[in-house]
Amino acid sequence: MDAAMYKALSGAVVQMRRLEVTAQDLANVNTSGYKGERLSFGEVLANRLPPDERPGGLVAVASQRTNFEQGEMQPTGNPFNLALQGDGFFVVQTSRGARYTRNGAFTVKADGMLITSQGDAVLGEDGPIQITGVKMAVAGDGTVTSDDGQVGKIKIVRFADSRQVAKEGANLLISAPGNVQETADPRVLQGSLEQSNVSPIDGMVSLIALNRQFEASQRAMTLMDSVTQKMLSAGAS
Amino acid sequence: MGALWTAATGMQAQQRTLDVITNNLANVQTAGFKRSRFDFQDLVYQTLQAPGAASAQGQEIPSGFQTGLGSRAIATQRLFIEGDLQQTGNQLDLAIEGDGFFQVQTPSGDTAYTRAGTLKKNSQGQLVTSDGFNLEPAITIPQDALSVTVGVDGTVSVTQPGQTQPQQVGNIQLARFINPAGLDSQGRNLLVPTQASGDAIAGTPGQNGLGTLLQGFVEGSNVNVVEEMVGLITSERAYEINSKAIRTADEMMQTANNLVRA
Repeated sequence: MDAAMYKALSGAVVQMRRLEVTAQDLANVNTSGYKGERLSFGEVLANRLPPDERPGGLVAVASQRTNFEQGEMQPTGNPFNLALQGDGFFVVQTSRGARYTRNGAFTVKADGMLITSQGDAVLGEDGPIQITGVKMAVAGDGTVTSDDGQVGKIKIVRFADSRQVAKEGANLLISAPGNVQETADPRVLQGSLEQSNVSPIDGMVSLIALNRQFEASQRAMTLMDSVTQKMLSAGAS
Repeated sequence: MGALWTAATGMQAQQRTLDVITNNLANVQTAGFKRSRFDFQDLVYQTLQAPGAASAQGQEIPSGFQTGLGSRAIATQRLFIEGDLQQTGNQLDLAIEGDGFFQVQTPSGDTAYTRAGTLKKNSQGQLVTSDGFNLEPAITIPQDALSVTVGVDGTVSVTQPGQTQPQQVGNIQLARFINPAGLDSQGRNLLVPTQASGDAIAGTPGQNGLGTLLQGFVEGSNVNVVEEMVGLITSERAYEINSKAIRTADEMMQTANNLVRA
């Protein structure tokens, strides 16, 4: 079969993959702390002909990267809502180990422990943060105080290599312990949430573009099919 | 075509937000009402290729491939910011300045909590809410009382005919919770404690972090119409954009179907 057919097919497959990623981003356009995805495409060499005869290979997704750009700040007025400005992640203690998040929509348990909306403890410098007293306040560096004085300091970390981070769902990120570092200068904002960094306009443009490119690949395949058909009928007559 | 279902979860999540926003807007004039907001999460991911996996001996793939399966609304968070105080001049209208709830006895005998201090007297002279539920601890105003005075610390005193000194008839107590956002809404402005809210800590107004009382005022709803309208527009557009993703997935399937000519 003509290699050109498979090249057109690889283009169509890439666009379907792009649709899945775009749909995921758009579904999370209002998820606090959500970070969008970026795909890049590359050529896969399909044959070993000499370079000047090589007709070009198949296209495939070369890499998928999470875009860790800052989302916009949305004031909520809830004292347990925290947002991070700049680099950094909150550390959450789950039953499966430490996880990291940018979604600071926290709440407290009946015993005063600071938790995520999933019920997992938010870690401080010395373990989970236990809030006593009233009028909880969080300073810019993550120090938590109440009318009982200082009750803890929120632990904020960064990743040495942001590519070595996977999403786990529920706004949580997972990374190898060796990739996690201390942050020098965390900036915590109380009473605000970081919005999703997905741009609906970019998403819409992607939807239109990938739809048309998929169609173009389909046209190319149909065209090659009709060429083959003509060739076969010419041989038959 | 996982994208169809992914976009559908996005639409469902936005629909939930609309429900919450419309409820907030419907209660823009409800005394003591506290607005809610939705909290979203991304759903689980399918990992097609893990980051850091080896592509050959000693060669690490720098980034993996993951496909997400959409989003979901996980929790409603009630915001206990103080609403605007409105002066009514009614001596049985009480507003709480600061933290705390009035304690109310429901007909089933349980204690419920409310910020709506629009109190009334029933036929026996007891202080009740607009629904006729007794305040806890119960306070009875004598039938011949000329005026009722409620102090900032909850002391209720009345002046009776022929007496110059006001008589103390009871104390209004307030209750606070470590996590008021964990309270369960029962409608009728009533909230009940749950595992998440913790037990009520009752006390005298103005002490142990409790707010003080203000007579002749009502705490309005803390719903901000402009903010809700902006939220309404945002979620409506997010709903629309997810429907566009569904349409794109549909069109691509149609294009694929056209590959084979009948």
